[in-house]
Amino acid sequence: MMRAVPGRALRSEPLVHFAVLGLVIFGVHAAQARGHGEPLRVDADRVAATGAELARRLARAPAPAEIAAALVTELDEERLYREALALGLDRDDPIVRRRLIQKLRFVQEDLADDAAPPDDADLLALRDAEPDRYMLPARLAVTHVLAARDRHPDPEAAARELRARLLAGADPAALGDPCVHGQRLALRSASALAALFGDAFAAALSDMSEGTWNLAPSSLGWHVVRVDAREPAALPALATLRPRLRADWEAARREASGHAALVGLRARWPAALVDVEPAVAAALAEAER
Amino acid sequence: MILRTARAALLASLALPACADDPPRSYDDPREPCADHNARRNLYFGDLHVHTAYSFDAWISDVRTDPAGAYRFARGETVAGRELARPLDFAAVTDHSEYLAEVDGCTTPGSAVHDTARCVAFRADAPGALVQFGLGLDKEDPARFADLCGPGGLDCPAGAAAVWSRVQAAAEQAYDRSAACEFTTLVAYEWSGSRMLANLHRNVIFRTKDVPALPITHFEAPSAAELWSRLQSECREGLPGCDVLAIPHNSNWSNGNLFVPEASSDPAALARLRADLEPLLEVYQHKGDSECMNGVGAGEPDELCDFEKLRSPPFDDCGDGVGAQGILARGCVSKLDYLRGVLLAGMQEEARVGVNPYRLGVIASTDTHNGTPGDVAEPTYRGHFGSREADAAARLTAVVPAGPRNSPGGLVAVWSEENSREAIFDALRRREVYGTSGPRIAVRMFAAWDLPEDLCARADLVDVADERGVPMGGLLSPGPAGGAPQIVVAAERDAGAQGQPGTPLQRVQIVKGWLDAAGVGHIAVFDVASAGTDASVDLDTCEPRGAGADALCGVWRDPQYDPSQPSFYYARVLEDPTCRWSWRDCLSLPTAERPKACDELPRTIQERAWTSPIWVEVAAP
Repeated sequence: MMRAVPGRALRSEPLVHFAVLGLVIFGVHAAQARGHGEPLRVDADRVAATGAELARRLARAPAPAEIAAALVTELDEERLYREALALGLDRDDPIVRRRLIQKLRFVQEDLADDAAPPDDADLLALRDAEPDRYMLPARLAVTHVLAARDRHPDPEAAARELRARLLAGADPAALGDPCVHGQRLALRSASALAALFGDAFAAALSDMSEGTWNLAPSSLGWHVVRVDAREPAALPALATLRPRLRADWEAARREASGHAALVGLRARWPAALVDVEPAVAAALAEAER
Repeated sequence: MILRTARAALLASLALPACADDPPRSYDDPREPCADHNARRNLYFGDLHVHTAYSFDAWISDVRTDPAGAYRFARGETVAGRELARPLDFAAVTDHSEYLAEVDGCTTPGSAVHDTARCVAFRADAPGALVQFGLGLDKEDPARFADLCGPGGLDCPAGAAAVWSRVQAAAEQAYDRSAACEFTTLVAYEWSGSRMLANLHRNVIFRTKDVPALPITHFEAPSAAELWSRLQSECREGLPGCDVLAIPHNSNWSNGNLFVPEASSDPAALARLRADLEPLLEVYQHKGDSECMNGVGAGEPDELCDFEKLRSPPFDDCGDGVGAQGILARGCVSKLDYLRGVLLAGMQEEARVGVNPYRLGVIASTDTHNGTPGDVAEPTYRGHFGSREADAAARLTAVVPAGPRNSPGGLVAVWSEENSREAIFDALRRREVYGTSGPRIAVRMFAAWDLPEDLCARADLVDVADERGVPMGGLLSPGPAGGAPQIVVAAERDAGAQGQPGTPLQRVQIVKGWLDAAGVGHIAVFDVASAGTDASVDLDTCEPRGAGADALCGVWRDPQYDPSQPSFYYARVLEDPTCRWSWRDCLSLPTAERPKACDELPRTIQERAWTSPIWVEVAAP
């Protein structure tokens, strides 16, 4: 958890008080030595803006003295800010540091988001680069007749008997025990079949030839199963996949642009290694690539 | 020749089922037609109550999974180090609609409010933020935080609209629009009002991608009646293609307030609107069970009601009044906090105003605040409030809204023609749905007047029952003179998954509720199929002992039916006992280090399914 509140911790640290005081004294001297800074421009626009904000808060037109008091507050804040910058108080401040890092990251992400949207060729390339991710699973449609473990002392033998009757032309709808899913299951994946009747059932169907009655064990007993149709695994059409591809493409672009920006910065601000173990140095070079 | 005949017969038989005479399907939310379309309905499992980092009470527990991540998790991908043993078929992310902009502003560096005192406190002080933001949802005349949303702060409606569009985009990207129909998302949010800390929350679920530009919050609609009226005007009447449901949950935290009729000059019209928009109750989720409670409401004591209770005696009975502070597990307990009492009250309201406002089907879901839909297995439960529940000791000692009385929550099961948005939503609307406490138990229930007594021995059970009767959630028309309604319930055990074996079934029960001639409600529970009650669990190892059934089925005729009395029937399917998650956590700790929850809480549970009821209509006099 990000519990640390660096500002509070630092403010209560005597060493920090001492350092800040030292800097301020040093700075006062430095500023006196430098003389005056750039003046703060106060023009009609600025007076009007300050007056308007004041009028909104007071719900009446402010007097000139009230506008002047508000202006002094603004100007003093600006003076304090400029002086703090001149003294370098922003340097090594953990809050300023974190804030600047975040700002730069947002700027980089915004740049990535402003780039041209992907066209169909981009999206197809993304799909075809990682077909497994987008592939629809192979599916099969089956008819099954159940010999339930709860109803037969030897459900496998019962299933064999049912199979013989089916091979002799019996109507499956008149055979076997009831199943809440019915006897006909339209095209679905092996994992969907496993969800209904367990992994062993799905596994038994994996290389069963179409149109023949075969036995398969399940979480309920034994089934006589006929595979009615198979649909091979396939990549969906672009139109169907477009929203998902587009989201994935944008996520990849954001990641790539963040990475590219860092690679540039690593070149611009290289690490200078001093007395670093060779193994660590090599690993670092690798990690920075 | 024989081969060719067999092949022709096979082709003919393939062309036979419902698809042959089905008209070409059209979708309000365009997509490829599902290859698997079954007029007798397929079973799909999902989760309709899921919070992500967009919810204020999830973010402060260090949860960072967003709606897109939650949908990836539901589809079976590894997210934040966790993965489902079995993907879900459908899901809806339901972040709190309140504070979408505020949470976004407080957690986005550089936003106009990121460095305000309230946002700094939100990020640093989770318990304080929970209280402060939570209490904001409890006022009759609520207002957004002026320091976040007022002049100079965020434009909260505009900010909420931007977050809401990300929620919609996540649902859009994860919806499988191919003919395989592998996964369905529903655009949704949670309206999170409460009153005097009595819970009134509802999940708002949309049928298609056509949804209003802004979610409705407690700030604009501080009462349920205002929520319904806005859903009606902004969605169903105001936006072509828009349809919506609201699903209340945690009536067990409402001190009788969730099912009080809203005040209205036209009670029948309001009851009709309520019945139309709220056809379901989420009867189970991570904050306990809302089916029934011994000690309040009608019926003999039912030991199986002692399941996942957030409240334990002693407590006051609200009687015909209401109480407060249910969210803190305080205040009185009402018969209207539990499904049975609500269903009876609905029939009493019908006698009073002519419309049954509480004709409620049943679902369950998780209410996870970790962005992990469908993560319901007891043995691998890791809490639902992020870092607040990071290890066994933390989970066993956490406090509201987390805590050892919480659970992984449950799943919603739907009997739907196919796995598309329209079909899933329509199944929810007609209540052909049920809830489970987690396992994927398969249950069908039908009611009719003339079912064959041997139906449970027939392979064509579903065809016969579906043709002669009505499925769960339906209304059975009055029967022949002297007849009594029959119910068939068929249940199959959870087939389990790799590393998660399913548990056998123990029994199937029917719960009947009815009003007598004086309008007084009654409840009776009947066992209709059983594998015996001998199975148990070894409390040192959590290994099961004894055996249950793979499948149970019963055809039952009401032995005490009176056609002049309105009645409902729902089924409850029980598994054999297993170790509760908390006891598994206790076993992982040395005996001396076990918190008191290890002595106080039940060590085993009987996981279960609750079906939506079927109502039997009374003939007009």
